[in-house]
Amino acid sequence: MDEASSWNYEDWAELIFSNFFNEENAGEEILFAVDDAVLAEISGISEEGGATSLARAVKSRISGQWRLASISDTTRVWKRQGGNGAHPALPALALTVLAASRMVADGTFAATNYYVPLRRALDPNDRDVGAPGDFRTAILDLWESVREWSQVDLGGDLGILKAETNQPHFPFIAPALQHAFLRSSDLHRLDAFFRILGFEPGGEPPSAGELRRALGSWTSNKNEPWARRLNNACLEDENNELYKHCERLLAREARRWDGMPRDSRTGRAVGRLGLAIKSRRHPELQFYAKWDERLGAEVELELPALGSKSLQREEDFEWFAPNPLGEFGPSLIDDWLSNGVELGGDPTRFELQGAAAHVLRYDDSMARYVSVESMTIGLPHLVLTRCVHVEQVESFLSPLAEEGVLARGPVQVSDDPSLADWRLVGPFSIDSRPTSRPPEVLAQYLSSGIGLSLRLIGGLRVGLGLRTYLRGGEPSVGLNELAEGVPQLYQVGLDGDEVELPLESEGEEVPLWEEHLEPGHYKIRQGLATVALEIIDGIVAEAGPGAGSVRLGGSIEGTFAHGRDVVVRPWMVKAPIGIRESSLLGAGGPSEYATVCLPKWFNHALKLVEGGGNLDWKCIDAWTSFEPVWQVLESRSGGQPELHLLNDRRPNAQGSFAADTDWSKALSKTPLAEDAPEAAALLLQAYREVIEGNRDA
Amino acid sequence: MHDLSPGGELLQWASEMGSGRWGQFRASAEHLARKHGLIKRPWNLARELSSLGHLDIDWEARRWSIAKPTLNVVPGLGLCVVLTGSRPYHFLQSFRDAVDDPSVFDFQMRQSEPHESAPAAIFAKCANLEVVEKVASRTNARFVVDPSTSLAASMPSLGDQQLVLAAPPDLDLDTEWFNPYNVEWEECEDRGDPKEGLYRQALTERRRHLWHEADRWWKTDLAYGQFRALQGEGQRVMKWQSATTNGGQSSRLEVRRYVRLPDLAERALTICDGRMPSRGHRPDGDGHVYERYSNVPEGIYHELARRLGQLPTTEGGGEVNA
Repeated sequence: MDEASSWNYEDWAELIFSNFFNEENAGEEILFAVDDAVLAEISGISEEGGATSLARAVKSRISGQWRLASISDTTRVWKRQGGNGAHPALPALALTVLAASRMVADGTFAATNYYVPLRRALDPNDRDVGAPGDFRTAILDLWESVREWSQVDLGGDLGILKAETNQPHFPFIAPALQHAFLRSSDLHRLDAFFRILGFEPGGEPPSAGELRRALGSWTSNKNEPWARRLNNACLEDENNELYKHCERLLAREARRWDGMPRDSRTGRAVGRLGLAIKSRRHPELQFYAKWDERLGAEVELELPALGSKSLQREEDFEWFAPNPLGEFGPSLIDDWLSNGVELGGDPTRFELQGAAAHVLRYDDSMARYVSVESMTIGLPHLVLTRCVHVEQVESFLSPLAEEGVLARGPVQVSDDPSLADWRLVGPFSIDSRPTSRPPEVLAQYLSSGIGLSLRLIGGLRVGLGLRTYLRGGEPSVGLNELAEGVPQLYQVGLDGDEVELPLESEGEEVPLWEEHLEPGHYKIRQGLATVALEIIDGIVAEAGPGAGSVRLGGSIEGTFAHGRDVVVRPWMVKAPIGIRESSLLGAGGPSEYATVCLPKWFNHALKLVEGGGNLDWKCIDAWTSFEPVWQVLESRSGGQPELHLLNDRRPNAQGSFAADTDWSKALSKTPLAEDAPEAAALLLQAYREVIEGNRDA
Repeated sequence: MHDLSPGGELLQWASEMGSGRWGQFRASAEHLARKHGLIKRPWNLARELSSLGHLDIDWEARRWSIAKPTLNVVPGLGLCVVLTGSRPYHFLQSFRDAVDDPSVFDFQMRQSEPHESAPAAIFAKCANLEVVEKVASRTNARFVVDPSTSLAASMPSLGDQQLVLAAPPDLDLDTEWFNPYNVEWEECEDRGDPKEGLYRQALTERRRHLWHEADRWWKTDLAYGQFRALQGEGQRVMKWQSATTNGGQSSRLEVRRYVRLPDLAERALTICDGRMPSRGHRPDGDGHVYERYSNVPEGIYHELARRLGQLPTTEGGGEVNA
């Protein structure tokens, strides 16, 4: 297919099939958002050329008389022959959606307005009005046939293309409209929207209705075309049930949102461009291509004025070389920062989202400040924003940054001439989530208490459930500013019965830990919105999965050294009485002498810290290198020292031992305990005989 | 026995999770700091858990794991066994059952300032070693004897530390130089040739530390970087004092405030009495403020001092003959 303008109907069917149906969309509804831009993108020719080529191909099958029945006939034959490849109805349906997209672009939704662009999509010279040919009798069957094929025959493995074919209002054009009311590119905006919602990648999203209402609110004060389209899509209108489709679409996008950009049409990964600043004092802006695990190690990128460039992942780092991508003019940089940019590439394109403010954080691997998707509590950041927003950004950040433990001074604003109309604010770090709402330009980078949805914030989550928390680690509840009424807390019983509990805390963010909830299931309701959670005491018996998997120096786990033999074990001896230390004597002579005392300091420490408690000992551990045979203890009656036999071991003597050592003195001069057995007296005599002084005596 | 300190709750959560990525741990630590109105960075809460032998962290890989529950028999504590490692709810229940025995007395001690956020120390005073083994067996916990000796022996010495070559830093970016003479960090104002020694930059989540010598730069660890700088100047920042003979006062090791010990040294010292060091409120006789570890045997002090290039001193301050 090297000459797009001459593609036939089958070529277009295959092209549409390969561009809208793939594994990334498995199990999900496909947004069949065909418009002039999409046709140009997938065909690789101009906007006008793509649409014209498609129209020519469709006309070759249905003629200028709009005989859609011929597509139905072809479909039956195709199915009988095994139904391989693209469904034959795809190009014709694409043309109907193209017409709807042109109508939406004009801002009109009335059915009477649809048939004019529909007719002209096939033949620009068609001046008739009303439904063409057999459109009304055939179109819904074609949509249903494609739905059955994608959902049943293909098992939904490449996505499901379906349309509402039972709409009471405008039933024949509703299927096309529900795919044309948004552009694929509009869904890119949901990335920022999800962040503002405080929704975490992989987390459990709010209900579809809540998502739609929140999106409607977020877009209501924005004037950009994408915002108007999204806002229209969210409007609840009994004559226009597009909002239901919008809810399904939002739920789909929320389910598969992983915090990274995707092509909303194909579901495939889109690469990210990053912004970098090497030095705060000389903030020359640079761009680079970010690597992530969804992308391969090599990509081709089309760079303005520089042409195609081959990029390789820098080993072990999360970026592609060359880094930076090149030098770009100030006006181009200004445009990219504000409006974003998409650079074509193979196997995927790369994009930078335009914004009124970009947040940067230092990256050790690049030795630069680089743009990030969100602020992290406690880390230093910079904000790059237009002059017009500096005051509100500064006034929001300054008090927060000054509260920080590392605050060194006021937040600085750099007006380096190389930044043109942009300013660099910071560095600053914020040590706890702000309770006041961030200005609009920072909202997507930093979540705060109140927001556009009822949600759980923070908490000590455990187990497999997304909303299971440890007792004491309960989250706080961020309230929905769109919902009316105060939040209500319910305990849910085993039978599903709900009992309302008084909620003691107030404010925009309700700290559930202040409610001291017992383990169990709970729900919080505010207006129509509900969030559920479970509180438990614990799950595991000894330690969760992976315990002990990280070892310091390769062998240390906590206080245990793997692979190291036990050094020594203590001997158990009698606890000294009173405040004096007790002597221990071994069989090996004067070198086998040690003292032991009670750790009274520990008793004192216990009293100091806990205000009470008393430790006493009958036995105590002695950490001598020899085995103690004798122990000198004070007698219970008179406080005089006396000898106690611990082990029946004869002296280990080759000759005699000096008499003037502590060991010898203790054995020679200390009387045996009154209750000592006869054998002890005999053994003591043997010890005294090997002491020099005694022998001489 | 429920420990309501921020560190206690963090330890319980980490014990339930078992292991994970740093980002997840940071979020939980942040939540608890907010709940308790605590101004403490997540990695400082993590470091307290690590110092106490509950948790191991690989900062390079940004992963952590909890250690299995361990009963430590420590010299000088009179068979008051220290419980380290994992402490999930159900383990603490079974520990409580296991120590419900006339030959065991369990108690806990809160940590003191400035580490009051750390988990309380849990002890079981056992009648003898057999009782310790019985409690370990009943709770399926490990049983370790004299852990500080093996921890100190496992600690790499200054000479074992391999420095990784790094690109020269931008000294304009929040950089400070470690002054080994007065053991303080100084702002890098000088635009000339940088001095040799240890630098830190507050650019990333944890400060980045670099060693500069002979016109080259290396990445280093804060603790080893500091002790390398101190060794170069012959600065002593550790002092040891023996216990009194009647047991009224324990032996103690004091380390100058603002000097970071390597993780294993810290752990070898905290396990000596199961607690984080206490901090003196006033400068000592030498005009410096110290952090004090109690019940540290002289042998442990010598081993650590030797590995960190610190000449051990006697109680009077003189050098110990090798």
